[in-house]
Amino acid sequence: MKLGIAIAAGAVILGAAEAAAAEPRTPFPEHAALDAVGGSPAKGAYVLSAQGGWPFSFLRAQVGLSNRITLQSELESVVGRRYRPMLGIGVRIADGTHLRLTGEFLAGWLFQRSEEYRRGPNGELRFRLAIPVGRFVPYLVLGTRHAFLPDRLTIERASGTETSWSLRHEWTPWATLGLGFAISRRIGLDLGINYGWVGAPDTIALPGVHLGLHFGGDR
Amino acid sequence: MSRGHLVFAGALVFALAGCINEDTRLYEIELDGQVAVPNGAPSTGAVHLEFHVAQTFGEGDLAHPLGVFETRTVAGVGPVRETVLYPLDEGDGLVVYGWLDRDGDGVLCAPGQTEEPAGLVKLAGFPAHTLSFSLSLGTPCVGPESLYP
Repeated sequence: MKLGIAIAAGAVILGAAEAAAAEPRTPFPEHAALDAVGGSPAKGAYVLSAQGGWPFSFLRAQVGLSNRITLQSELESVVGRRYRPMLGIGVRIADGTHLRLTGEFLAGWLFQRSEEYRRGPNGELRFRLAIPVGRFVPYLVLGTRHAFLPDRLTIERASGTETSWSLRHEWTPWATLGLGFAISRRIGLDLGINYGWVGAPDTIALPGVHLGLHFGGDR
Repeated sequence: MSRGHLVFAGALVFALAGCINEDTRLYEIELDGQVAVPNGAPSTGAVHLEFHVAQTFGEGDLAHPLGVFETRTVAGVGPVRETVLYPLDEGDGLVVYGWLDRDGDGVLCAPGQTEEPAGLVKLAGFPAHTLSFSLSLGTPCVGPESLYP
């Protein structure tokens, strides 16, 4: 009886090992979840992402212009009060079976309509590190964002009106730690924790969370 | 889409795409004044002046009298000539409040200290780039909110 159980258990383990060996460590080398969270899809490929959460939500599109260069567009919303439409490029810096490192530069405009208006040109430099393991893709994003907010001062004097402009700088360091998952080659999910410190270092920031859906194709 | 809708959409996009954050409008006023104390009252000490909007903009409870926008200290009672920048978007009307710092401690009437006279005047003729006023410091130990409105 004990021998029978041992044989059966051995057969199960052997079967699982054979199955694991039959399926490669990464079922598909490039997929939507990896392209979305790791950035920089290959030439001709694209990925569309919708990440909803609190307080940050994102819509993002990436198209591979070459195997290293990507064109991307992004719209970020903060609880419907602050928007950041951006256009930029991504560069695949390092790429391997279990690692993808991408640098991205984006530029656009900041609109914030709340008790305090904030509007002006905005730029971001960020790096994405993704480590695909099977269908899972743990990833880390580190970025630095800079917005330039013009102010106008008008002084009405007896001799005439004098107008001058000044520029304030808003710095937002950024970090995201998350986990992507490939449902299929074309469809993926991700769950991430965001830490965007808007107006650092004069403010405090609360961490946020997002859930993303990614769709890609044409590889 | 009608022309009106296009104009509205264009105006909305323009408003959203604007680039001005803080838009501060200041109105320069040269004030020519006379600060005095009642006859026979002590008059030594510096005079601390506060320049207020008479009524702040706002709706309901957010509208309130007085809002200081500049402060100055002058050597003593007598003629005063100051240039101030009035914030046009914060309120309406101009009020000048002052008090005589008889003991030189920079504090109005601390407990157990000398009584210090104060006074307030609302300037007529605002807005104008040149205004004159006469401020009498005749009420001891009061803040501007006790004298106006």
